[in-house]
Amino acid sequence: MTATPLAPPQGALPTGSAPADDSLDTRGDEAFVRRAGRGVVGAMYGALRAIKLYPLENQAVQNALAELEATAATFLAREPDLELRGGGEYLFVNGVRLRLELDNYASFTRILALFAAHRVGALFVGASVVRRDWLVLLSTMQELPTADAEDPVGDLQERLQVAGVTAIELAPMPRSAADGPETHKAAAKRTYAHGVAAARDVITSVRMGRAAGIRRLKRAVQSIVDQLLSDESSLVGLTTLRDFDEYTFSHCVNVCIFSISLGKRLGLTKLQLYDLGMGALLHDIGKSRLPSEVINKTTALTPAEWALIAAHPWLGMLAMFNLRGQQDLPYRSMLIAYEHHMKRDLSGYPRVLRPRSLMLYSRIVAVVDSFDAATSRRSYQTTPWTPAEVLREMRDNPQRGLDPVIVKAFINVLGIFPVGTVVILDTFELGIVHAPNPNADELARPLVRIISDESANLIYPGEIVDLSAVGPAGAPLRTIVQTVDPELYGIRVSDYFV
Amino acid sequence: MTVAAAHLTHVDSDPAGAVAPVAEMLRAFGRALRAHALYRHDNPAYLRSVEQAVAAFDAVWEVTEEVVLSVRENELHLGDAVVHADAERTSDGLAWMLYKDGVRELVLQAGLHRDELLSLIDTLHQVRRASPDDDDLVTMLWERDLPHVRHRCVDAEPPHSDAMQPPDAGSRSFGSIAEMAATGTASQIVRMEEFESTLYFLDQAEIEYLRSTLAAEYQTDVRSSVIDALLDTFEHQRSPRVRDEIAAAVDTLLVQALVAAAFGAAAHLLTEAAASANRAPEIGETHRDRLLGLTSRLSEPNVLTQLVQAIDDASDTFDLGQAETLLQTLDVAALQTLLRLVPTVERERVRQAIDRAIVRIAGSHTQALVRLIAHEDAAVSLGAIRHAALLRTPAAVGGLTQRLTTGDLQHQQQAAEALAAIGSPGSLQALERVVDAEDRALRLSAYRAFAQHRYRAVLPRIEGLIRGREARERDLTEKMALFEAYGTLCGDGGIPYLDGVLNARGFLGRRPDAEVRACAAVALGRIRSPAAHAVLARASEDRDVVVRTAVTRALRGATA
Repeated sequence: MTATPLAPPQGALPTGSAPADDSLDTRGDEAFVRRAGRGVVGAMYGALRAIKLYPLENQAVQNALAELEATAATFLAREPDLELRGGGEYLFVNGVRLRLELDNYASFTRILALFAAHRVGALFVGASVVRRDWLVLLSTMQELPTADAEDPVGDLQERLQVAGVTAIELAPMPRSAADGPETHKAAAKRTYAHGVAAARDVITSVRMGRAAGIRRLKRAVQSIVDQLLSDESSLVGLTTLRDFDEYTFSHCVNVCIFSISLGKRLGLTKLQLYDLGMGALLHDIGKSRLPSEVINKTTALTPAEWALIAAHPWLGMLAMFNLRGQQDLPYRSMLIAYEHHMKRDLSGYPRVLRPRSLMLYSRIVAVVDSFDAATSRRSYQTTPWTPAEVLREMRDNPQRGLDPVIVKAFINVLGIFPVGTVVILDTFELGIVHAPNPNADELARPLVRIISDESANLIYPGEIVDLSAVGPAGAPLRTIVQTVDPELYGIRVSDYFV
Repeated sequence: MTVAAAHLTHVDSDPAGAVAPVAEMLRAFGRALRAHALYRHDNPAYLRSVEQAVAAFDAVWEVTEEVVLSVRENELHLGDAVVHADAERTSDGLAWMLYKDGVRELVLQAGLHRDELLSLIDTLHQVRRASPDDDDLVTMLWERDLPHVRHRCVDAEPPHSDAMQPPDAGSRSFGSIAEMAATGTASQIVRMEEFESTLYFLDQAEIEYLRSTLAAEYQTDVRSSVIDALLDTFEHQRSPRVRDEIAAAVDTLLVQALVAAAFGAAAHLLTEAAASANRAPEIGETHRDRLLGLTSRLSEPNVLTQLVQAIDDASDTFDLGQAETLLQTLDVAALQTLLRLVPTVERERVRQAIDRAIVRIAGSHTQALVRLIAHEDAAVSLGAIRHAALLRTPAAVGGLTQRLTTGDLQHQQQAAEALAAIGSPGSLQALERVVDAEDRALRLSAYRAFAQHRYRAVLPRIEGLIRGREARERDLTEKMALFEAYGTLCGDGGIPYLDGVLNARGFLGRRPDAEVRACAAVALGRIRSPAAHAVLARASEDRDVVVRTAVTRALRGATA
């Protein structure tokens, strides 16, 4: 049994941390907490952005703080206090879980990221809170603790006390949730390996003509969903593995990871992410029914061979009729397999006779599949495209037939410099993009792991720096100059994510 | 689940004092789990067990905010203490139930109250009943997404991770970064302005587009889309082996759609399968028959019985319109079964839907309907007679006449009604046979049919009846029907007789009884001629209120 880490500190505000069932009399109250809680979270995010972009005396900052003060006051007029608790991928307000949706993902993601960075488990706000308290809290939270900070939440609380803020108190994360980046990396590695193993298991079974079990695959997808909801960058980083020998399996897992990541950004529910992930993981299962010499051919395909390749979508759909461990058929996965090479105008393959509209999930997987395939080294593609080239092509070439809204969202998820991109900085350091910047306005300035000094000496594992960090003069400390093909220099990007 | 309290061990360090309340919580949880399986959920015993479990959980949240249970084969541990032990490893044991599906740690957090507790109990109950093809506990827990329940599980086989080793930590150098930059190709230089339009997330219209698309897709039955995909492939791929596989998949889909009460998808499948059967290039007879035979299979008695029962059992939970669409695809082989099932259906709207399906099938297969009139199963033959009436099928007259004369009384009565509804010369001629039948309902049907269809050929027999004594002794309804028929058929030729009944006085001024005179008034009203009107007018001041009322009504009808 763990300690009781989420209890408010001694002398804290009267507890509002009881869950919805206890503290709320009716469903109407719960609806109020949910609605007003979303308002507070949105206003916190607005204030965070304003504080980051403008000087404190700027009217935009004052307006944002006034908005936050007003929304909090509305909440506190009906509730004795306000508890904002981070729980992995969720935010709870006074015990009521707020759902991540398309129109609030940015605020949720940002606030959860700040909570995680400071190891904050919960934030308690009393009725006496004033605008200045919010200003102190949010400005302080913007400054991320150093990697070696032992008690970030304690430090943050101390700074609030020094500034005279008494209406806001903090509680640390539960021990399990406060696991450091190494734990996240280990979990991500385990999840990725399970995904590859499950994909290998199913694909090999289909290839051998055996009835493949789907139970392990389900668990793999569930793990990927959980991992992406709690710590996206560790798992996305592993998509850089691109193991040539395991391409078929790792491609399936990569497409699954990217699709879920994109789906998460689009506000899909956990179960919808699961549906999407299952389909993404199985999207190429039809290839397991093709001769391996065709799949692995390094020279141009003959028309007959091409016809075989073009059969893999419907072969995949048929293969799913024979999977074991499912009460009902995986219809959405079947459609993803069938439709992922169709273009928006229904050209592409397979050809259709009956009118149909491409399922959204198929359109997502089509985009992600194109990206991962083009940026990977495969039997017939010895020189992969750079991520930026692929994203540009997908966005600008209508002949690709991809959904432009999905492409736009995908670029936003990956950033202009996707995770794993090797970049040269204007400091003449070499870096690997570690994660998109958590601030959605800073997509061109990701978090980068420095892997060499300015003299080109390899550093391992290297420090992670935020390219949006500015020096005393207000200018960015580092800026990306260009990308580098890691193959040319023998850099194994995945080493830095394992 | 068996809790062996004696096995509980206590540890020296239990600063939060949680071991005892957690053990009690698990005992209460076990009782609630058993009650969940044993009782209806409004049973007081069940409700009491749930309330006790809720109270036990709340007691735990008084002393701690998180309970981390280690799962062993037969035991649950809280730290070093055993807080739950099953006497033996059975599928009912809580520990084994968790352990066998790979759960090695179960974390329960403060905030887990009644609703979530019930959901957890239900999840474990589902696991106990799960078949090998059902989801396991891990997947069920994951899908339930209980906010205050977490678990850690293991997979049976550790995956390979050869490709995931950290790099050689030995020192390396890349040469000059400046040189690397200089050798970069144009494609490696990313210009920010190229991505400006994508720097910001989706605009409101794009968000709305995605949201509405997703919502629409989750409201749509995607089976139809899979069916289209399969049948498109069937038509494109000419390999018999591929077509075999697709035909089998279509079979599976049909069953799955029926199991899931996705009747719209099943109807779509039957329609599109028939389309593919009729237009797929180079289709062999076997494949054509297999696709076209899907409808016949659904029309088979045992299959159709299941379908109708499923529709009747659960018609509140799905769109009956979709079920009706499916019923409308059935072929003539379904007719007999549908007729047999109609009386067994509980819900009126389902019965109506089946009736409409029967009407469609029988309307285009009248001979099949006619044959079923003679069926030995009374439900079938009566249903066939009823639908022959609904459809007014002249071809059924022969069969109905047979039933009119040789069947049991129920068949005779329904046959008479059907013949009356058909109203053809042949059916009316058949009804002449029951003009003086012993059964009143048969006679009534006949009289009314003669009147309705103005069947003059029967006039002499009707006239004979009303002039006789026997008819006058029948009840008012039958007398009225008989006189109405007479009035409808006799024309002015019948006026003198009717005038006599209504207005004339007999010996010592005596008159027929009032009911007969009222019937005569009704008959005169049916003649609708000036002469009949005049006769009625003379009786308008009759002292008998029954007669006067009938006359008044007849006059209104006569002038209408």
